[in-house]
Amino acid sequence: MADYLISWIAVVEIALAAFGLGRPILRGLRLGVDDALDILVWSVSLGFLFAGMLWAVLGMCGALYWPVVGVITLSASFAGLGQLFLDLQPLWMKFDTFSAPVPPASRQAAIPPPRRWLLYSILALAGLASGGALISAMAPPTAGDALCYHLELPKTFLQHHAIVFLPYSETSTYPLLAEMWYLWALVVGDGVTAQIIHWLSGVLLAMATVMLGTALFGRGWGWLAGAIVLLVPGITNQMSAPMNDVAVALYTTLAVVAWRRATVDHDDRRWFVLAGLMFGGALSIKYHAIVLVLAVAATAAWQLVRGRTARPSLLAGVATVAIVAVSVSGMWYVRAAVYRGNPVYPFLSHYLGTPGPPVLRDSKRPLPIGPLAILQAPWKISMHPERFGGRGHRLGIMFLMALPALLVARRLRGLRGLLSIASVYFGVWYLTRQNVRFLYPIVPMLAVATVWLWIELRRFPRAARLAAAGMFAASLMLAAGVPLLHAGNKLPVAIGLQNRDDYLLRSEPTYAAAEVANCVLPKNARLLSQDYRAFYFDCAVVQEATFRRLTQYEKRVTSPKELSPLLKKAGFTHLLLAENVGGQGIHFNDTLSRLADAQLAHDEAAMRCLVEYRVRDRDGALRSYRLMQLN
Amino acid sequence: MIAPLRETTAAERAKKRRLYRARRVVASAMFDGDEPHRAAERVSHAKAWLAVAWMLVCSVAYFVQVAGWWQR
Repeated sequence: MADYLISWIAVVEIALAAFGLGRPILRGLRLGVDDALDILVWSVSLGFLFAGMLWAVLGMCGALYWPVVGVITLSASFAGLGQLFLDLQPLWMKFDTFSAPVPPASRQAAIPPPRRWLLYSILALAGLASGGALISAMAPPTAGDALCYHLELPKTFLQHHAIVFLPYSETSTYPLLAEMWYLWALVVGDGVTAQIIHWLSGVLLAMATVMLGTALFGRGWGWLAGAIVLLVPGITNQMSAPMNDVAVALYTTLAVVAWRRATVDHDDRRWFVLAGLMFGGALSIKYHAIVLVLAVAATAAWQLVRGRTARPSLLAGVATVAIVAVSVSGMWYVRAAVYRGNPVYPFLSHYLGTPGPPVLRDSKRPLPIGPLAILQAPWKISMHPERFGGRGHRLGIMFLMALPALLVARRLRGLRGLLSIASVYFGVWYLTRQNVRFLYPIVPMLAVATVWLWIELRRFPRAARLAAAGMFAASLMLAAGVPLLHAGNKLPVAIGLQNRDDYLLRSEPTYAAAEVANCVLPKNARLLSQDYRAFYFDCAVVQEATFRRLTQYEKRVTSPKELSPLLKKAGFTHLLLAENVGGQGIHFNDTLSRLADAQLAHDEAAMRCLVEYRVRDRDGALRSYRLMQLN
Repeated sequence: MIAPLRETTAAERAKKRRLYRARRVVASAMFDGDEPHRAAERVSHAKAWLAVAWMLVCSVAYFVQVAGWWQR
């Protein structure tokens, strides 16, 4: 129960600190933001962006000590509390569903607000889905990517008090803004705090979608667009783990909102600065934000060609956005260029003539390239998400149902621009990495388009309208139920009825080995592991697959007895051998375990087994784990 | 001297119609504005039921898929 409380206190402290850092920046930009929802979303997002940048700068200066981070956090959270009290009355007064000003577009298109029962029913379903995701987020982290990368890197940086270069970690030179938030969470709280931070970014993404929808058809329908985002199965699934796909979607959506304010609504030109900050945030989280930047640039180029917008003004805006975005995100790309010789490592390594793993290979593009295949793509990614990165990341059925039906809907000012951005993004996605979670940045735009179809359903004949509404209702209920069902087995540990260690021993295959290693291994131990999950180990862990790719050590082992001297010479003291012994699931490369077994057959004293056990993993594989000491 | 008026042929009229329709399609695709005048206009039965049929196919196929995933 104490763990549970610490995690939540840390979340509240970080959220307040983010508000405390972001609110003065928002005020300083003098954009005239006075709507409660807008103030909350912009302030917290700006706060997270600047806090992440601050930890990154401290890390690059070697000053990542917990007292430094702790004092800054505490001061910022008190500032946030003060700001919140100052804003409390205006926030409370303005936090009404229907009071937000109706945009001119919605007046022109004669859009009445949604019925209250409809609004509250769909919001309740979104609440259930996000509640299920929150329960899952409150269980200790077990997601593979989180344990090998998103949490492992912050843990390692904290151990070194610096953002160090890790030559055997492919991900250590990626843009790491989201990982800076998780580093913050690990200083103030724990892994669960990091998970809840990512859950919070999902809620902020839904709110950003509300802002996007409000601009097109008013706040009432805007809430429904936000609810749809929370009812996308992949989004709720990601919200329960400390990853970065939802976080990047948050910043790209906010960037598009700010960009629209400047270019479509012709508001204050300072919106370009905010758009630049948000694009910079997105580019600091994940390389894929570059694709969205390109999509927005393509629509800006189209605007320039059409000449509907004043060209000098638009060009100045584009320049402002570019300068601000590069200033915010540049450090990550410079860092990658310095260490890897490639600012977008490992992408484009082939073209830049630098070493790197192949990332744009055919196995990452299940769909063939061609006009027929791109038309079939929406169906295939909705029905067979396991071919596009996994079922856990699926988009659900809502968009596939709604988007073709938009052909019978009226046009709505602004929607075509959003769908153009989404189409360009989808086209580049289709040509590069066809992983369904990389589509999350366009989910808010698709949600807005879906809501427009719902609005247009009132122009359908009554029977057809009822049939369509029934099918959408069934899909929404299914989308709300799945996260709740997934959360079922995590509920006891989430609310403190089950001990976190017991839960991890049952749910995380590497946890038992990590517990033994943390008890018996010296601080300076260095582990070579066939399993990629390393977060729960206190000592340094190197992934064998990366080490093998970079050194090709196995080619230098010409006789069995040479293995352990070679690995000891490379600085390793222990091995974690993980082999599939039954069932389906991912098969780890068995080079190391084969070589180790061959050496043990000749010389039993070459290695000592510290612990050995078998465990059934979540992917269905039965695996044998051995923690070996090199003698 | 003013040239005598000439009757347009059927082929010329058809060509003109095609050009007009093509222009309307392009203009419609380029148009990014609201259509409040169509707010009271009903979507035809054929178009509406076609859209509903598509939604039905998608939702049935998806529910079957989800049931399959669940059983596994």
